[in-house]
Amino acid sequence: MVVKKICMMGAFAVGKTSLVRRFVHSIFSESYQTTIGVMISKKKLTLAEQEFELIIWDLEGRDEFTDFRSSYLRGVSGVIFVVDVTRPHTLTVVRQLREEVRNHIGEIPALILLNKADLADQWRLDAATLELLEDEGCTLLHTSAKTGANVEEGFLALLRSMTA
Amino acid sequence: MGMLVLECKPGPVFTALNRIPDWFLQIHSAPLGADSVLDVAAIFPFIAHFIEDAEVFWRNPVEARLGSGIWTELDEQGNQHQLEAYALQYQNSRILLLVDLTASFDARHHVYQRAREIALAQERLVMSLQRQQRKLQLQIQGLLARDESLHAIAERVRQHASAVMVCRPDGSVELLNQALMDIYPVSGNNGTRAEHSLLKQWVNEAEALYPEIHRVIETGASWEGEFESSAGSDKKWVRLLIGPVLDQEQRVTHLVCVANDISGLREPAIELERVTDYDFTTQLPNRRHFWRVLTRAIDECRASGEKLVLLYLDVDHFKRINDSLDHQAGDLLLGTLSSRLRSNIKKTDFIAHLGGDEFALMLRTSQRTLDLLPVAERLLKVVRQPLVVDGHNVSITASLGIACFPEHGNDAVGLMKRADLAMYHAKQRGRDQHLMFSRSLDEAFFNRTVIQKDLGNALSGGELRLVYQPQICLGANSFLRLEALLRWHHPVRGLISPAVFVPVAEESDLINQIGNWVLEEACRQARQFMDRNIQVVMSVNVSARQLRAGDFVQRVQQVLADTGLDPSQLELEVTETTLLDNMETRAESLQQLQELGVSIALDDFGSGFSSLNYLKNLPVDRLKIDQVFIQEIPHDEESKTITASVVKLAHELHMTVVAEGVETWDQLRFLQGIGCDYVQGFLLFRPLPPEEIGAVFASLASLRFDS
Repeated sequence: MVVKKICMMGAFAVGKTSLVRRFVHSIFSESYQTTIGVMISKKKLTLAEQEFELIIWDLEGRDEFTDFRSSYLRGVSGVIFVVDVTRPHTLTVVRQLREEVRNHIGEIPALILLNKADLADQWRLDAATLELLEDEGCTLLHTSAKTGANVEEGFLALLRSMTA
Repeated sequence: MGMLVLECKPGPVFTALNRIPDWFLQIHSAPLGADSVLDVAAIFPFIAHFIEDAEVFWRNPVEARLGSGIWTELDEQGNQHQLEAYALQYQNSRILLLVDLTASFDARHHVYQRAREIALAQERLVMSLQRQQRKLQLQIQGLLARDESLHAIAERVRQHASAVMVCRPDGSVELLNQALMDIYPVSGNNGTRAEHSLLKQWVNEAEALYPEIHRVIETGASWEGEFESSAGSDKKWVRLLIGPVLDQEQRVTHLVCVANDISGLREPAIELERVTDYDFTTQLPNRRHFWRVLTRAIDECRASGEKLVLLYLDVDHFKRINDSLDHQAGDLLLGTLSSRLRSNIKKTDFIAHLGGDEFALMLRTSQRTLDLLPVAERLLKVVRQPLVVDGHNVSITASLGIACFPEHGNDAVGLMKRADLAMYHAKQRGRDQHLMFSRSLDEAFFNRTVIQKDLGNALSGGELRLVYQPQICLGANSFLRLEALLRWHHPVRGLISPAVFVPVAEESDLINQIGNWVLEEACRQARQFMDRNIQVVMSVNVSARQLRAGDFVQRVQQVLADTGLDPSQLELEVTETTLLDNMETRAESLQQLQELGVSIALDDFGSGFSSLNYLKNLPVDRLKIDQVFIQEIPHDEESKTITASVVKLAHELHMTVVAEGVETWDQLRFLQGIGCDYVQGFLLFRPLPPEEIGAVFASLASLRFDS
């Protein structure tokens, strides 16, 4: 079994923990429960007949009260950045985090999940910024922890790029 | 015990230094390796990554400790455990502490949750504001583009909640509304000097956060952002949108500025709350947090009819214990104590570290009567359990005050005061005990307050005086030894016992003023006796506060010079407890006094912490055996043995001995028999006014006790 560490990063309340819970335990709750520090979950997956164990580090949401701890990135194989499509500020946070990750460990497989995609009527993200990210080579994927849309696909896409 | 202490040896290999806590076994139940070795990196992937940082820290520990940050683990039953690791360097050992924060995590999580919910709500408000500002700006732009008159536009925005200013590209104002004037102290709407500079002010202020603002505006694009802005003498956070109006040649004719005061959304209170809610040393809620919880709990109990019990715990002699350990060991002691207390209360109870050596516990119950005795006993018992800190066995005790809502206080302040008062009285009664608040304590407290107030006037009002009790030499000595004793004649209450007012004075600076007066008066009186050919040695009691004052030796020197008393005729009495708070420094002061020629007596010997070991290192000329031992002579064999031993030891150390509280002839004979040098007590003389001392001296000239 190959063990891979991945980190979930993003602003607070974008749905990082909900995505992990949906992926690992297939459950979802509407209520927002903030994460303090790091929540570690494990999930076994098979990809191309190879067994993997993903150690998922769900990092506390980034806000003005939280310091960036580069040590959390030690040994990471891939990063999932999460954006809340109803909050444009969360995209700014992800762009900053992406830069910080690059500065600390260089280029590694990463994916941006545009979460809460089920709230299409409240979409507030700037299309130009998203285009810019795509131009920079970022993989963007619309997800919904609530409906489960693209959640498993997101984790698998990251795993594929980590093992490519 | 919430903490697992591990020592890291090269490898790295981790060895448990304490008993493996239950929470750890719930997460990882596999048996320990040989010699208590734990592979923590394999058990906790989180730690595996932290160890690299810890290794760097251990090589060069620039700070007291390095924290890992909190992480959450699931145990084998699926329960969450919130943990944090700390790397420490302790006496060249590399220590890794694993702390289980689960017990206090709910309260901490609640604060974070609340803070982020508020931040989220504020973020949504700002987004909503942004939409409104854009809509308004587009409306005004549209009106200007259709050549609508400025007057008509001004009318439309006059009462708008958002501040509006329309200006020329050079900043000259075309119109502004009331909301803008509410934020900024500008007047009129015809381009006064202040209005003219507002655009420039905004641009300058925003530039620090948005360096591109000049370029954006000059190129005729819209700009929006949030920044801190000066509004008269105030600073406000403003959300500003600046939109250009272009003519057919795409030149900027006007700028439409829409602003809102968002200061309320940027309150730093949430951050403060997060930073200041928990105490690092104990991982317990701090005083501020406790105060909030107590206030809320009282409100809830008032509504529900529940009873609330507040226990206020203070470690006895903590300062002395803490001073004898190094800083980290003191912290470790408090951390251990908090773990013990926490594990001895119910999950629904609340405990906080109020600071220093003070803890507060809050219990709620729906029972009308609650037997608090077992709870209080249990808490004091866990405090008493021996601890090994810094390689030393440390014994600690605590005093506990209890107050109940609603009987003893109807609000948080009242209840805390009563619990604190009860704790104070528990200490007064000898420490290591608990005491429930009662009205009599309030009365005692009131009395103390009155005494303290009146004592302040007693000195200037001439209500204090000295009396002198002779100490009789059982051998041959021509000098009469006198102990100066303080008396207070209160104008209303009459004679107040020193046992009542001296402890009150000792709690404040009054004891310094009074002590200095006693020293001066006793020396002055001794000099007068000498002038009358009455050979005396005057003994004066010195308080801990006086001795702690940096200039005490100089003061004694000055008094001797002022009164003309020979230093050999002054003796200063100190108690063991006076010395114990800083033995080395106090001994230095005593040495300096001895070098002046003043003699030193150690008062109440045997009553306190009597360590014979330190006696040989102290510059002491005389020991005064505590009267407790003398009073039990001749019936109590143990007291007789102790007294005889003290006399023998003192003589071996070249000290003389005074026995105080001598009241019977049997006691006198015994003391004479064991070679005690001086006796003092009512059997011989009560404390006397100065005018009677002459007669005493004359009568003693012919009296001998050695026959």
